[in-house]
Amino acid sequence: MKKISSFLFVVFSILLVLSACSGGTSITDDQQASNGDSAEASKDVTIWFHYTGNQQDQFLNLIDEYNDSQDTYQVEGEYVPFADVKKQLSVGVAGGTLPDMALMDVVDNAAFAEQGVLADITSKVEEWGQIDNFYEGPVESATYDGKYYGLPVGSNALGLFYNEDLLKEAGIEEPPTTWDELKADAKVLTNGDTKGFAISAVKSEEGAFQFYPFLRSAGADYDSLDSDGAVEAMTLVTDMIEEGSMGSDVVNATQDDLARQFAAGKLAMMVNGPWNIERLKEESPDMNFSISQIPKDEQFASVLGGENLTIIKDGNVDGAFDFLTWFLEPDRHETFTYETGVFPARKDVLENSDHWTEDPYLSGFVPIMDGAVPRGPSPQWPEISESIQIAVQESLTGSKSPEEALNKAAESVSETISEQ
Amino acid sequence: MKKFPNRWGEYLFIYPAVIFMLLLIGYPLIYNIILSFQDVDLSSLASGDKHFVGFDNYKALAQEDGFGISVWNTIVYTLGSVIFQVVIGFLLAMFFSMKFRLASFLRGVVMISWLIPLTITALLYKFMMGSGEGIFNQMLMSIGFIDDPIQWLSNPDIALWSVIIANIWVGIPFNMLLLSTGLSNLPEDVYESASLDGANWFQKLTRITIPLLRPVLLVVLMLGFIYTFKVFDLVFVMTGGGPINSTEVLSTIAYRLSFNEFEFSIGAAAANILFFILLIVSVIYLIMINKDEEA
Repeated sequence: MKKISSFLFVVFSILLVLSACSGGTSITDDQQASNGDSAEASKDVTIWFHYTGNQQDQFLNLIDEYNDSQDTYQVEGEYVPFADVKKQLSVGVAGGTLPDMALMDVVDNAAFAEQGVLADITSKVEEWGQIDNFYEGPVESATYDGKYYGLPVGSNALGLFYNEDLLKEAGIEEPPTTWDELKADAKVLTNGDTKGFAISAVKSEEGAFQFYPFLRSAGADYDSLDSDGAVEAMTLVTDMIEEGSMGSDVVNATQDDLARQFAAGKLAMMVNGPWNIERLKEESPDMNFSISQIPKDEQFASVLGGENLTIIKDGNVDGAFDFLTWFLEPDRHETFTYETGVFPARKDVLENSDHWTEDPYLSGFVPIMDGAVPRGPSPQWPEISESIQIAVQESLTGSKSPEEALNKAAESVSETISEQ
Repeated sequence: MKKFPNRWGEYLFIYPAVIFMLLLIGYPLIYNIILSFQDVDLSSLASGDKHFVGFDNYKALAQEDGFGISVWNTIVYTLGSVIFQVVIGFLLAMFFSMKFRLASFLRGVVMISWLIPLTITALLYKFMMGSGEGIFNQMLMSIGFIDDPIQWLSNPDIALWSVIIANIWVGIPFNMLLLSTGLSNLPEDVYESASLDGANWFQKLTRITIPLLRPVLLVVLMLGFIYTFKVFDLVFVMTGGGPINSTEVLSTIAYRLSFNEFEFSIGAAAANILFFILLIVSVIYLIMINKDEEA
């Protein structure tokens, strides 16, 4: 028994060492192989995307349409779940199995650009000459260091959703527009199980996303978290928890959780995005709800969400850019964004169409989109975001005062930025 | 000596298993250890320019906000879960070994909680532990056990224990099943002679059942420890590591560092620490088992 196991141990360790060595080289082999492939077969363009449901159907239809319309390139879409996008791209970099294009959350674009994964398409974009027709915020999210590393293909922002029936019952005619009104109204609207107001303060990007409009409204930003404005914003949400008009559960509530509570009539007002409109209409067809600007301190502010289509550095850049500009042609962009319930990234599309201004729900977002700003953009956003998430949670759970929590966050953000 | 050539033939039979283990377990393990001593982010991953930095990643990890608490949380989570799982599982196993009508049917029903995918369990508990509408608070308040709702998942001091409660529920059936099997294999004659000698119920339990079950208990504790120590889904879905860092564990911090911040090397270092602790526990277990076999 002893002999066998010691023999096995020796064999095992030798093979382990061998496999470790060969493993190292095989990775670079793979990479060379795949680079070689893409150079030869420049016809194929693979896209990783995380669209689901209707968006997915529409996107795949458009890919088919593109493939039928010309013979130079052949585009193929591959679905990657949203939660796995960053992981899959990382694994793709390690294994040399990257696609030619990747759809990503606006907030991740700068980080992937900084890490050298994405192609700098500045000269192509300038040659194309249509970038001035796009909204500034979304385009900004696709730039890093003054260069373009992608193009926005759909935008959204956060607004205040309010249950008209509950507001009417409470005798509130108009939704709140200032922080003071928000606080007062939320208090009146809170009744037993039903909470007046909620934001998502979960420990993920959603938490930072939802706090950002308040931060910006008070004139603060991620690099001025210890400013008076930031403290005021944090004090506002913390006070609302203390007063009971916002449930303490918000530190675990995702934006989907909020939509569920709102649809069930357990929440009178919430901060959420246009992607939840269809769902609310479906789940509570009888409920009357509407959308307005998130109440303000100094100015109305909102935060941009959405997706950018990026091109991978060693991929088929020409083919990818050709598809990208085809996909972003005004008519196509209008149909795709409208039918999937998001906002166009192109100003000319929104201005020349009455789809959004006529829609009873989406129209609420039209003025919001005007003042919506991207998060960062910073390649260190994930770390910055985490500092914000933790500060929000520390303050909302009462572990720290708003000032203490924000001072700590400001310190770690400045550390993160100086590390660069 | 004559046997030697034959032996080589015999060894051939274990090679499929050895190769399988090397590829699927050995390779990632070694790769991860090497990774943790290199400076690797997305750009160096793409260029292949990985240079060794010694223990820098481990130092950076030690300074990471939330690392210290994640080690502590992992240990509390594991010990808290395993102790309650084994004790409750053992009591249930004793109960169902009484061979009353429907005993085996009910034992099967208890298994259901183990069959539900962990993500769904996590979502269910997140609902049930909601502070307002959650059924936990509704029940506790209606029987007058508490006056104010408990902030199960939103109070940083309680959240970890709430996740532990969910995990205990998940782990009981598995423990019960293994212990039931162990119980049914115990020799009956020992109990008969104990009865003749006038041993009471408690003496039988502590002097016969538990000592005889020792090997099974060791396996159960060991498997439970390993399974619980590398928890990911339950924490990730229920709290995402929050509020603040109160439920952050080693696996969630490794995931966050690797795939959210692209600090692959520091993430690998966190994963290695997790692995290293499990390795120590496994070695202790092997030593104990060997002692048992020798005795």
